[in-house]
Amino acid sequence: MASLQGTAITGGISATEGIHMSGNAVSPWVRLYHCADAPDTSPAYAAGFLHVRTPFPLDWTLAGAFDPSILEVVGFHSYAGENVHDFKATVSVANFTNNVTINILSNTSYNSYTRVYASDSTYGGYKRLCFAVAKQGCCCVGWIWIRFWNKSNLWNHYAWATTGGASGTSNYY
Amino acid sequence: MANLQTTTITGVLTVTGNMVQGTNSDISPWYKLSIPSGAEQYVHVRTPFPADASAGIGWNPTLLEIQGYHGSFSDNMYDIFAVVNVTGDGNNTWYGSQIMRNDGSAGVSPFVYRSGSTYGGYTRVCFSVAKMTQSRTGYLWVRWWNSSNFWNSFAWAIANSSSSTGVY
Repeated sequence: MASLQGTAITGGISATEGIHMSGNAVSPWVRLYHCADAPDTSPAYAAGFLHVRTPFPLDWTLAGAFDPSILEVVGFHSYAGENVHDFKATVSVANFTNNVTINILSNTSYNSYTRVYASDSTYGGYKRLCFAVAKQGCCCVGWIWIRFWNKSNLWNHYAWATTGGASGTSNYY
Repeated sequence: MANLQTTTITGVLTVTGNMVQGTNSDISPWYKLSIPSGAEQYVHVRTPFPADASAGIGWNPTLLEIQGYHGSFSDNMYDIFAVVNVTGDGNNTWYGSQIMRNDGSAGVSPFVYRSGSTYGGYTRVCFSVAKMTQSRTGYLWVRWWNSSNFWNSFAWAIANSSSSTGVY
């Protein structure tokens, strides 16, 4: 791995897998596809939901004690933007108890029915930050972008995962 | 051109050109435009983004994001998201001005449209926003989410007009 001191680039720069602005504690953007899995194409999921399990661990020893991070999400689903996601949520973890407080404080989404939650199960030893957003009942084109502010080093702490489902209020992870 | 593997920079990275923060993320760099002086009520931008299915964007929406301001005291502030799409079924139907976020100051009236003429063989995605009718400083920053490779595929253009439509 190359390590450079302060660097000036005359011209453009392109990074295939993102730029982690660690000094400002802003993670790279991660891009995921709305068509999560095979069951997602079932008509039963018409006007269904995409659930995303992020790598963000909900453990105060990693996420910080009462030291909130911001989850930022941007995206759309289907051809005419029937669902558009554009929100930020703060996520705070209490010391020792690991109680999680989630607040969606900025949300200019459209037909998104956003919900952010803690996984019921553990993955790699920790509960993970998850969220659900509405999607169309088809495996149609649609992308979603996610990044973190503050504990940005946790953006790739574990594997990302997505699944489709009929409910936005049930926990799928 | 240097090609580096995973690289850590201790200190500040300064880039005079454009920075693509993850080609895999498919988000374009910001493109900055200066709003021209003039008393007209609207400013129009012709982006390089082709508004034709033959360019490969049929049934493949993209998000157009606009930030900016106009006026010495930021009298007009722009914070806009629009979904841009054309049908891919051969009809090449334009999917209008789908403004999903308009969170700037009131009355900026964003309008996204397809150019009436072709430029470099394609119609182009254009937009207008209201500006002050006095000559004041102001800038717009524009970027794309999805199909971001089109962000510099043709020349950008900007012009003022008394109308919110029909400049390009």
